[in-house]
Amino acid sequence: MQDHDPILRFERAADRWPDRPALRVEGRIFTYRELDAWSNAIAERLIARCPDAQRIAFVAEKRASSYAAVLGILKSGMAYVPLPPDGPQARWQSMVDLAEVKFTVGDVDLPGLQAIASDEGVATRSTRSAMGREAYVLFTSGSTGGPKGVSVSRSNVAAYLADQLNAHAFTEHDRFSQFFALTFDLSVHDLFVCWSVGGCLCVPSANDLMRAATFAREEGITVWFSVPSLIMLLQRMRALPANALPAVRMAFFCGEPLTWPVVRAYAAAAPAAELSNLYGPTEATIAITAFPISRDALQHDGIVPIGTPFKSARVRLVEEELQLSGPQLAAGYVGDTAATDRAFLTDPATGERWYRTGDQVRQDADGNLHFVSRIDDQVKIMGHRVEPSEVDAALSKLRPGCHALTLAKRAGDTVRLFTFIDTVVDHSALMHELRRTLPAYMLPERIIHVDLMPMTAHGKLDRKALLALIDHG
Amino acid sequence: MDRTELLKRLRERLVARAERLGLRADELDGSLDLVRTGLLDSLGFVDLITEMEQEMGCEVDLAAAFDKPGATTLDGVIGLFVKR
Repeated sequence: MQDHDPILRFERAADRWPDRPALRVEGRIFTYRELDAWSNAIAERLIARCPDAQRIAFVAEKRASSYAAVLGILKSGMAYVPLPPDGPQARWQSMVDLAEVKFTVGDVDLPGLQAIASDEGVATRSTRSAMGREAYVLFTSGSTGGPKGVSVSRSNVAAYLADQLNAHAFTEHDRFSQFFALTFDLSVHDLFVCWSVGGCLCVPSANDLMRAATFAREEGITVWFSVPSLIMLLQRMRALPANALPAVRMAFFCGEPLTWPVVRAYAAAAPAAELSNLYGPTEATIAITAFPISRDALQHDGIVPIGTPFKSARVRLVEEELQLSGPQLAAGYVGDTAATDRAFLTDPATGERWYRTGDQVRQDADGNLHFVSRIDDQVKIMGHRVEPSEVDAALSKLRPGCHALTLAKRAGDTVRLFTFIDTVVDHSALMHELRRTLPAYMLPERIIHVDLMPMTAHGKLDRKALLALIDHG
Repeated sequence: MDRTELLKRLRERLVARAERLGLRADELDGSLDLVRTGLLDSLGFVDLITEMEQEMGCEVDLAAAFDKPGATTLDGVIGLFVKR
């Protein structure tokens, strides 16, 4: 597994193809030699300034310095904590507090943090051995209040890379898309699958995301990886005609349920592409099951299976809930042993750790797994995991004593949140404050006042009655 | 339809949602980015353009619109429908 350590793989590629392009971003090209030297310089500064630091944050903008920061932080033996570029600041603060971050690469506008320069530079490699250490902390929505930080190690990433590199024949001529935000673990696939094989990572600007097909054509993308929502967006924009993506030879989808109509549209747009549906939570490192989609069998309805587990992974169904085990299993949540203990179980008989996904899954006669639904209230909004109760927790902090309940409602292919509240509040002022604590995708579409929360005959909150109010209020 | 009239129409369409999001009406100026502020998500943005196409009886080249920076601002939307 050590053979697939992400930094080891990057450095081997840099030794073998020093003059090949490693990164295309902000209209510039960085060769492996240049990116290697720059990230060595960042690692050198980190080791000089904060040799004992464990975690280093940076604002995860899609800029060249962010990619050098990821590599530099890992080379220094530390773990990276990317902060979402759109904030909000209060969320950054809770992330930095939870992960006990004291140092950053580049400036981060929060009190009490020391910044180490991200400027371009040249240095030789550090001899620090860092395999097996923590690689990154990424945050997902938490049901009990603020975000939850998942701690993933370099061995976890190595296990993922080992599987992907064995399953697919990527080469140094491949050009990889980098659509995912660096705060999203699917970006780790983009960066380190690409840099493991000597490929070129092509980073779109914010505008490029809305013109992803044009971007992919211009950049000559051969390996595509996105959430299905991006394909739906392109379809609605009439930007995905047949043969729009002739150079794509491999396409991966992950992050939310993939539907067959979306696959058909993509298959027609990218006639040469091998298609694969991936599935996996951040807690099991990037993805852990795959379903190779056969072009001879695209005429289905509903959603595409999530397939079978990677070779090194194990899965089991406990009362229809999918549980995962194996070398990709993360250590848990930083600073939250209670949440870790709830989600990660240790089998008393074997001592094996298992992660409870919260996904209800069934297995068909061919052994393929099919996502059915969530066993809790979590929803996916443009690929982001959202626990509606995190909105309620944020609200109760802003308006102590209020009783709020946020529910998700599906309309066509989008999910929207609605918050019901039993107190008379100034909705506009409250939303203004919520915008400072929650990311934009987590904001409710509307706050709806109810005098009394409706109850069912069994004394539970009547969610149906509340959802019915949306169309009438 | 000229710029001023179009901006007025767009504001009317967006003001209720903006208020719900805690944005003031006077913040809805031409440079406001509809997607980055969370006023619309990217699918919602495309839906807005589609509705406006129906209203105005024309089709715009949406994919090409994003070749320019600021495509998701109010000015960007207006630029799609008003030729300079």
